[in-house]
Amino acid sequence: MPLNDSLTRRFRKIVGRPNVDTGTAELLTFASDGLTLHQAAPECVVYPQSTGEVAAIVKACNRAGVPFVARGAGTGLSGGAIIDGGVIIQLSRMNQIIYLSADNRFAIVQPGVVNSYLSLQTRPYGLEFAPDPSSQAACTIGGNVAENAGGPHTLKQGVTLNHVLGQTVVMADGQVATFGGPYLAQTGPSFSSFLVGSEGTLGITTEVTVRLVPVAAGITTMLATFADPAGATDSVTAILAARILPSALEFIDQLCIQAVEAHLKVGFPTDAGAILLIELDTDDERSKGQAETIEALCREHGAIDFTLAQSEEERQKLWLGRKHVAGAMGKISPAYYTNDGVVPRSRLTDILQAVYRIAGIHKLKVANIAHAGDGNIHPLILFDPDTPDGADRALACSEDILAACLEMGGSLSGEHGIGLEKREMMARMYSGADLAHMRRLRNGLSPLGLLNPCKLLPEGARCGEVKNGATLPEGTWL
Amino acid sequence: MTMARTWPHAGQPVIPDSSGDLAAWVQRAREQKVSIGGPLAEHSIDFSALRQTSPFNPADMVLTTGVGQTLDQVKAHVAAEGLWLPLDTPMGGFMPLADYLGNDLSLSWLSHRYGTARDWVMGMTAIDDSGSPVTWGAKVVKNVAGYLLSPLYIGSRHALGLMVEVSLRLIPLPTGLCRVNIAASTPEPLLNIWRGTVRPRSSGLQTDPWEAIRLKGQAGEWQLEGLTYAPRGEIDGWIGLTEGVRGVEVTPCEGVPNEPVTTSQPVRIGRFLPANLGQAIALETGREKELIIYPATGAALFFGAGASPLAASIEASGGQVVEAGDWQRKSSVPGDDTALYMQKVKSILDPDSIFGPLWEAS
Repeated sequence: MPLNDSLTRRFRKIVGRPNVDTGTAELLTFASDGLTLHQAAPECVVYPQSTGEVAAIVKACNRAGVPFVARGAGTGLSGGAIIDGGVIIQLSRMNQIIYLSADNRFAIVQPGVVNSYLSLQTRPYGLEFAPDPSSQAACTIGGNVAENAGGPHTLKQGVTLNHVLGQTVVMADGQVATFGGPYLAQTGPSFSSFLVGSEGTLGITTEVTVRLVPVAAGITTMLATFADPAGATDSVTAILAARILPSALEFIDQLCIQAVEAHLKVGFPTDAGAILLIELDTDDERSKGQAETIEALCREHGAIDFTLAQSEEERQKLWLGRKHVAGAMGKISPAYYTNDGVVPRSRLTDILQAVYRIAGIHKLKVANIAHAGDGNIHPLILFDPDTPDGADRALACSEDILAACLEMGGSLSGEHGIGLEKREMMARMYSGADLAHMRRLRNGLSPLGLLNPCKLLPEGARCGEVKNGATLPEGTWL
Repeated sequence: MTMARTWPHAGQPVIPDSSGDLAAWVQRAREQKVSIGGPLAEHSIDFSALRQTSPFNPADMVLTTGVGQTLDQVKAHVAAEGLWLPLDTPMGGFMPLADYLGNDLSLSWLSHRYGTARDWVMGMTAIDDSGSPVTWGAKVVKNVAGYLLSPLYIGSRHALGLMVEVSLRLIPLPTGLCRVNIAASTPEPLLNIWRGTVRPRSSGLQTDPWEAIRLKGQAGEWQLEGLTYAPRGEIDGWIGLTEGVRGVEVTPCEGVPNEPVTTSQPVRIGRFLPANLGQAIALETGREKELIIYPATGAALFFGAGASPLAASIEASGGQVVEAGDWQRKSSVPGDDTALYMQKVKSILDPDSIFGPLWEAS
């Protein structure tokens, strides 16, 4: 339904004229999130600064029957924060840390607070927010909550779900509700935990109470180099089987290494088949000897080199390389598509072999990074968008990889969410009864279906209007 | 699907022998307009026969099991493979997972570090109000595909649907832990010792050397009990010259011991901010038969009824005291709409109240 002037006027009343955008050029910047293969421009972007303003916007959208979606930094990778012709409620100006209690290890933050900024503010107190997605320098806490974000260090610390204690939420009908609170002692049903990972389809989070954890007093960072990628993945299984739980256990293959070195020169060995970046918290007795055990296990599985970061600077350099793998793809390919499948940990070697095989079938190159300790793979499927079927082949390749993950007992997504991208594949992971149960709950909590429509659950043709792989007008500045 | 038998006599539970049998019971309940499973339903359920455990590869660190397995059985099963489910309860792990999760009894001496049940359930299958099995989540350690309904089901006392199978995330079984038991006649010295182990140091770092910790006591007899990797010398350093300490025991552990089991059920649970303990919250006791305090989590379990100065001071500090197992009392706590939205969820997922009401009408 096209946006009418009275609704725009209503938005201007709620948030003020400068905080409502309807200009074509401005709207185009919201036409995609981090997944640029799906594009759909909104008709209006509204910038609220309080829970009350969000609630008023949602009520106005409901009255007008106009669909709406909340958006943070737009770094999501599943097409979850775009909308075709409705309203984007842009939360980036709600970026305050409202309250920080170092003694009680929690903070209350607005959804637009950037992930790494939060930890930057809490580190002087010896605390941090554990989820650390690769986009943490840009992504916001609201987006982390919506997608149940992870990151390399969630292997030991858990994902966003494990670090959210409470939320204030504007529900689909515009009612403001509060769930949970600052107390760690939370038992019984948790509506807050249920909302984490619901991809902004059931409510819009306007305040989050997050748990903070002590920064490890000691950290050992290791780089294991392998000629054969299978040696690296077998080492992952061996490390965990030895009852060692590193804080991070990351796999990076040769193509990624070469891209990173071309881009940043962090010192990754460019002739390696794969590397493992392994990090251990070494702040208590349990960690004694674990680094030596890890080295022995890696060498047993074919590691040709094993080094320890000798300084914090060296450690940061290694992590800079890891966190910029995706960004470095531009050095070796004009475009790439990120997959987010998950397999049981014991199938890691199998799925990587399957990924290389599937890429070969589609005549595409795939660069592989993985949160290997979690079994969460991120094949970066390289393609040329200027070839007629480039994007289609990349999508087909990704779909085949996800099908392989499901065949191995895994999941469609470890941390990026379903969004638009994978909604039709949900029927391969869940039965009709499972999906009906989820849909029943969604329809009950969002009866008008206006809040972030067409995401997460398969919708068939009803939501087919979002343009898959559409291109923006030439010369559009993003 | 197994044919459902006749309804048991009043007071006797339905005992399904499989998830299919349970589904048949639910279908029968719907046809005959009787309620089953929920806390106030006409027929309760004994889940103990739903013990089927799926083939388990320890390298995957996920166990999928029927909810008839007890918490102790699950922990023993995975410990044999060097793995650990970091959940516990002071009520004893002999109850089936259905009861443990259904009532959410997972607040324990591990909670400050490992959270509660909702943090470890990766997926679940339940029987819905039509008698069909429905599944959400996954059997892997990381998953964000679809809605995760487990946080609604855990603690809902089977009033939304009947859980039959859960997938649990596991971690390596810790080795090298010590059990620490420090005794004193009053709680203050024990609280000071705990505070000394976690307060910010001059380096700006906070610490948390406790895998498990609790204060247990009654008039004149208090104990700080916990599990830690710290060596004996460091533990002695924590205690130092603290006055009032009557004795210290440090015992190396085999695996991870369970939290000591209490002899009775808690009647109330207090929730508070840990830094308020011993400050805004006075550790003055009243007529409690016994108290268990989780200082790092900010929780107190009260055993015995009657006025409690500690409960009163928790409430005065802004904390909450609720009836144990009666989470819906949260509805009376300003600033938490969980109860209101649970009622909405109930009306969506079980509109005909096949599982009985969510709670007694007030």
